[in-house]
Amino acid sequence: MNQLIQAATHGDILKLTAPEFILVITALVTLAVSFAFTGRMEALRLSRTLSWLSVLGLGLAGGVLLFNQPSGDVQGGLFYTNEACRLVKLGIAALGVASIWLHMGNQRPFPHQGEFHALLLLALVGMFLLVGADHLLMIFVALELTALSLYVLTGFEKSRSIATQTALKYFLIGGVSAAFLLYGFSLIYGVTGYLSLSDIQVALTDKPITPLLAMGLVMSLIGFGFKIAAAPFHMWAPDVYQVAPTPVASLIASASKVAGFFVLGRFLWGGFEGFEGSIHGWHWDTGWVVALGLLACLSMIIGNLAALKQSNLRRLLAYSAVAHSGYALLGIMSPSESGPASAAFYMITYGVSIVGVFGLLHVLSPDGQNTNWQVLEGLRHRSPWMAACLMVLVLSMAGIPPLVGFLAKFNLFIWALKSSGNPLGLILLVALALGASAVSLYYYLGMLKSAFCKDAPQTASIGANGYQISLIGATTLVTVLLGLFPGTLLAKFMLAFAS
Amino acid sequence: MTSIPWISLMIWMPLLAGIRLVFLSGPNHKQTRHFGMGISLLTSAIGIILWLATRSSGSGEAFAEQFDWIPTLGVRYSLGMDGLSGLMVLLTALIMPFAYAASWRIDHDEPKYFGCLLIIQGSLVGVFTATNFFLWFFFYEISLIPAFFLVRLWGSPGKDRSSLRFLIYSMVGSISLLVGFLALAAATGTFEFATIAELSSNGTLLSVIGSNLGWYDMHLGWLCAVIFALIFFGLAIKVPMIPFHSWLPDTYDHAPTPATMILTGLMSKMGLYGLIRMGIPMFPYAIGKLLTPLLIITVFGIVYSAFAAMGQRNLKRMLAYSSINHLGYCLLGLLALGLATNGEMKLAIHKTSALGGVMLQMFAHGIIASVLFYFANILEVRTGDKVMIDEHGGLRHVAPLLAGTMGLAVFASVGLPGLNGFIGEFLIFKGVFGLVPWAAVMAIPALLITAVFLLGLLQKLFHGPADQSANGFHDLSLLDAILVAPFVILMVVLGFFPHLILDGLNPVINEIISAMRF
Amino acid sequence: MLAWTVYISFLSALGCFLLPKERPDISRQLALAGTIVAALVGLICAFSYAPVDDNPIVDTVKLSWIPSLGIQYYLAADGISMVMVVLTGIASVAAVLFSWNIEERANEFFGFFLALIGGVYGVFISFDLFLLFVFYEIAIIPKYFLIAIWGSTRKSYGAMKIVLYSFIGSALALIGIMAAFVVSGAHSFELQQLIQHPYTSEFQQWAFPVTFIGFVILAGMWPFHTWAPTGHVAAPTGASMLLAGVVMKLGAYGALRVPMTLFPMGAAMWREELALLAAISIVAGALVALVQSDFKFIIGYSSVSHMGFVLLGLLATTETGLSGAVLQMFSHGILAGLLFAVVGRMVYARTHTRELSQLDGMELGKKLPFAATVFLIAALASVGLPGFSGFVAELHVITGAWSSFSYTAIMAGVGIVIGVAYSMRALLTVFWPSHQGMPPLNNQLLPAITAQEKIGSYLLIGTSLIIGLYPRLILDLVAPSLHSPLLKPLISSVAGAQ
Repeated sequence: MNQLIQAATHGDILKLTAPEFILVITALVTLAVSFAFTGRMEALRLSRTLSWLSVLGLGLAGGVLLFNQPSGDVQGGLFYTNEACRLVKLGIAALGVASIWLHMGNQRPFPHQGEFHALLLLALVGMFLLVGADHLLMIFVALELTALSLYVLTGFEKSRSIATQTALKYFLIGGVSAAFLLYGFSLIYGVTGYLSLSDIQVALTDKPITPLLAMGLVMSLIGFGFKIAAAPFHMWAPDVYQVAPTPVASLIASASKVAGFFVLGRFLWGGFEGFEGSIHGWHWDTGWVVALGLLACLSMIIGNLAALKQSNLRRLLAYSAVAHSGYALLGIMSPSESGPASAAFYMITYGVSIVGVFGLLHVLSPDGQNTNWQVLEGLRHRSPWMAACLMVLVLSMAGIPPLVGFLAKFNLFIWALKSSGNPLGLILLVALALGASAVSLYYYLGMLKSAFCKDAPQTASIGANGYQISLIGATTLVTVLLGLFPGTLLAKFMLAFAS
Repeated sequence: MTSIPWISLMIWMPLLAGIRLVFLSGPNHKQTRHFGMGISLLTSAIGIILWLATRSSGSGEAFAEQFDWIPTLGVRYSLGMDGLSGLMVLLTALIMPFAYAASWRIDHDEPKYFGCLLIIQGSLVGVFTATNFFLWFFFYEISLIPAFFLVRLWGSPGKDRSSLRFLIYSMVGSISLLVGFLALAAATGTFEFATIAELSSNGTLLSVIGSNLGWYDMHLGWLCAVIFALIFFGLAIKVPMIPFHSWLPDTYDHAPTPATMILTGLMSKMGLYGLIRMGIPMFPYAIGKLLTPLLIITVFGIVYSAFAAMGQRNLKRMLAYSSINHLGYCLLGLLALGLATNGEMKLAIHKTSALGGVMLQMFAHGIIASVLFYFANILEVRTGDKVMIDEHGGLRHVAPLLAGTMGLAVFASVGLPGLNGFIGEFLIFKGVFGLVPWAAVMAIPALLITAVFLLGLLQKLFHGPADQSANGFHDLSLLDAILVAPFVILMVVLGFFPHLILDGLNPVINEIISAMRF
Repeated sequence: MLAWTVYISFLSALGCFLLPKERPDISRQLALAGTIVAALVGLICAFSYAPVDDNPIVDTVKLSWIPSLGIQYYLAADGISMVMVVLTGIASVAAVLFSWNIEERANEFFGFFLALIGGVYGVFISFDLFLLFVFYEIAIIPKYFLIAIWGSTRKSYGAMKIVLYSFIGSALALIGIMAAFVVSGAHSFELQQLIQHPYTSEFQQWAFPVTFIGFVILAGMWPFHTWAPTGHVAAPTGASMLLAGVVMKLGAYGALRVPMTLFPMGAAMWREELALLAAISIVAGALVALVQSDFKFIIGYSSVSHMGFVLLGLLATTETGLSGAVLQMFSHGILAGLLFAVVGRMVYARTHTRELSQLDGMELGKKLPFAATVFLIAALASVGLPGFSGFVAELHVITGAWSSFSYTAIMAGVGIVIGVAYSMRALLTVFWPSHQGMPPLNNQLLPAITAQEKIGSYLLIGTSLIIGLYPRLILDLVAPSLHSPLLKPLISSVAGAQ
């Protein structure tokens, strides 16, 4: 499993890219199946079959990742994989499964299920490729693959005009950010003459920073910032979260973010180590860490403050996602080696919780259109176990022990503070993060207040089918179990990233 | 040390029984009355026996108890019985059941009432036998609460204000005492009376205070003066000393009369007792320096209270001011001890005389005042209302026994030789005259005025034509007579044989006087 | 075995949540059983507590939990912990007894209640700072629900305020804990390990106040106390008893365990300013209590004042002061419970009003004599009547404070005097108002005092009395800890600085 392959032959490439390959095949298969059976099979059954197929494919890919994946790289960084990549891809795969599982709970599927599933899988392929990219071009391609799939998926329910509007908006903003990214990359290429991150790193060692290089970095950061929905590049998020079909929204909120963070970390530490600068307390040395710090501050503040005022739960979750991006950025900024690992762990566990919450919202509002606060009222009476799950998931996102959200945050903060050369450098940002968490507690508790303290306007109990129950139950269980016994998984993460 | 802690038994048995009664609210009130009476009598019996034992053996060492209570604060649970303590315990033992019996006909919330009485009994014994300040203060505070409630819940109209006043004055005094003593304890490292008194007699108290309590570089003399003032003030409120006396007439008036018996007979002695244990042995020098102004105030108080008593129409208020007057004599005697003698033998004899007189008078006044208030209670019950002196007359015709015994008690209060009220006053005057003659001389008019109003009282109530309110006025019942008889006998016996008591006191007196060698 | 206090509480909580809400009686009994068993466990452990050699800490459970961060599941107890555990036991049993009248959604009430208790037990017996923090946070959320669902005056607002303040306080404390961990370079969150590192004085200069203030926000130190009266008044009676009685002590306990132990130099630097704040808490709390027109608010503010004593004792950092702080934590824990019980359960639940002006006309002294007596005892005990625990506690604190900063001792004394004033005012206005013979305004009969209320009252009064008469029960438990390597640096650093 630990053999390092310098891919030379196609066989080697295949070995390395097996998971992605499997996913692509699955996507094509779903398309084929849907062409074959539309009209001949009842819509719901077809949709479920396709979903099962997708899950199977993801499962297979995951299996390969787990058991048979060698490490290595292709063509000088176009594609590489190591322990860390595997773990993150596994996480993404799991989150993908969860999102599709969420879709399976849908009782009334919209048309064009084949395309839907294929696009979902392709988006996941894009995310996988993103995680495996060590090359500027590959990053861009993978990013676009993911993004374009997601644009279409967002507007999938064509009958609703707002869906198409939002998808267009997403597309336009995404396009602009892609342009920034590309321009930044080209500047970097111009300065260094290389596209592979490792080559870039070598080329830049002991060189001072030039204005051109700085501009390239800044523009790239803007592009990435959009991807991870960090303020002030987050404007697309609230609308998309509100309008996209629930499985899509949950995928964007979870897996897409994970991939985005991973690649950001890879980009900065892999290519530009040495230019990070540093922060200690109130002082800083200029570098991209400072830029990230700015993004983090803005995300934490704007995200939480805006969330306070939302009346629509999905928009609230979008803004809180912005805030969570802010927290995770601390991990990327951290001068210790385990910083990015903690950020990855954080985003993955956060992803699990948010998928669970979306699943809950999906049960309460199947068409996804009415997700105001009222929808939660009286949940305690209508369905006690769902209320309990809501409590677990929401408190985990707020960062209350003994749930995994707290542990991931704690881990993140510790590694943000720990550093051999500059311990406690980021302490002020950590303090800000804690303060922002306090603010977030206000609206998270507000959700619980609606669920537990208010009486239900309608006393009808909620029917949830097996898929939904299992999804919500599974995410809740993971949140609790990982919170109580995180030892082994956490250790694995830390170890994996050490390389 | 004996194996059974008798003193603790005397304290905790009534305390715990009292607490139990307070919580009771069932209908079986008869049982609670008898139960409470039983406990009270038992406690008193132990008290009398202990006094006898102490008296015969000369010292109460055998009953001393000691226990390391709060080592972190240097506080010990230590009780002791010397002559003075024994005497006060005897007084408590005599008066408490008396008051208990007088309360037999309380009309509401009996268990709580009797519970309060028992708590007071236990805490009084505690106050009189504690050998360190912490314990003394502990029991002192505990006694205040039931006293407050006795007035508040069973008193006559006007009780709300007077009870509150009583509480506030007492609290202020307690706080003053506490602060002063805490400072003293911080300086000397101990709460024990004996230890601090010894430091004072060695002459080292001053320097100890100075070395341990350097508070913002205050001048040493001022610091000692402040501490002394705090302690003295706290005790002075309790005695009471004019001008801190205004709580007393109202409280005595509005309290249920049996409670007043306790207030005047026992609780007023706590202040004087405190002075004997704390004020005199620890701060003789300070008293000596302030002697003249203090004496002037005291003498003024004695005379003023006598005049005030004369002007009263309400029997209880008259007796209240009379109490202030009698206690004033005791205070006079105590203050005179502060005179600097420079070791002169003659003056020491005068001091012995004064102190002996004070203690005798404390005992005597306790008995006499309780009996007087008991009679006031009888009159109140018979007439159904507050006793205004002018409204009754000629009761001698309808209640000769009452007139006779009350007359005896009044004469004892005036100080007729042959009754127990005489010897104490005589010794006080003898001692004070030898020490500060002018004070004694100025106090003499008060004696005359006292005689005037007390005899006038007798005349108005008993002599003269019978009033129509006298119709249907019963004489002393058999029960009343049985209750009063021992006290009347005591008054006569002690009037003729004061040495019965004085013998037991001599060791203590000598100890205190000889310790004050300066 | 001590860990079972935590487990039993959480298991009972889970049990309660699973019970049907139509049968409140089963929930009550389960809750009572759970609290009694946990309390007994605590008492047994306290009586069998025997420190070995110089080490007053007795280990219970020590397992590796999150090795990549060096976190252990480490439960242990020293004398101070044991005192707090016993307090929690007694207070929780009493609180359940006084909550016997909860009918609506009783199973959830007791579920949240027991979860809160479990968290509290956990804090007192954790010696791994991460674990301590986890339990500290766990104790926050049930508070919200207890107040927001079953509370009274402004319950939503009060609940949110309490939670947010607690959370912010704990966030500050977390910063301190994380900083200590990171700076020390130790790969462990164990208190005994973290204390080995010599933190620089520059570090301690900011780390101490941040962590200390973080913890004492929950203890209600002025000026961070405003959540306390609002929250305690809004809470249902049983919750108020626990919140004012035990949960506020979490803050003080945490302040002693973490910043005062880890950063003694910082403590020496900041003592005076913080002691002044504590003294202001005493006086300000008392003054505000004096002018309240709502019976429960009087008690709420008096809790702030009494916690000031705890903090003053802590900051005096002499042995006497620290002993006094622990004594006062215990004493006030019991007495606050008693006071809230009278106000909430005995009076408010029957009269449905807490306004002094209305209670004034109800002659409650005659109609509720038991309540009157209990309140009398509780009020006297808390202002420091000798014989009860309050007197010894306050005396220790004042003695300790006097030798450190005498003016704070004087302020504390003033606070006691004002305490007498507002206690008497409350007592007399509610139960024995002076009406000069006017007929009572309101002549209806009130329901009798239930057996549970009586048992709860006797339990609490008895405890206060026992400790008041024989304080060595607590002092002997605490003494070894004061000489232990954990607290020695604190006491000697302060002594040296003087």
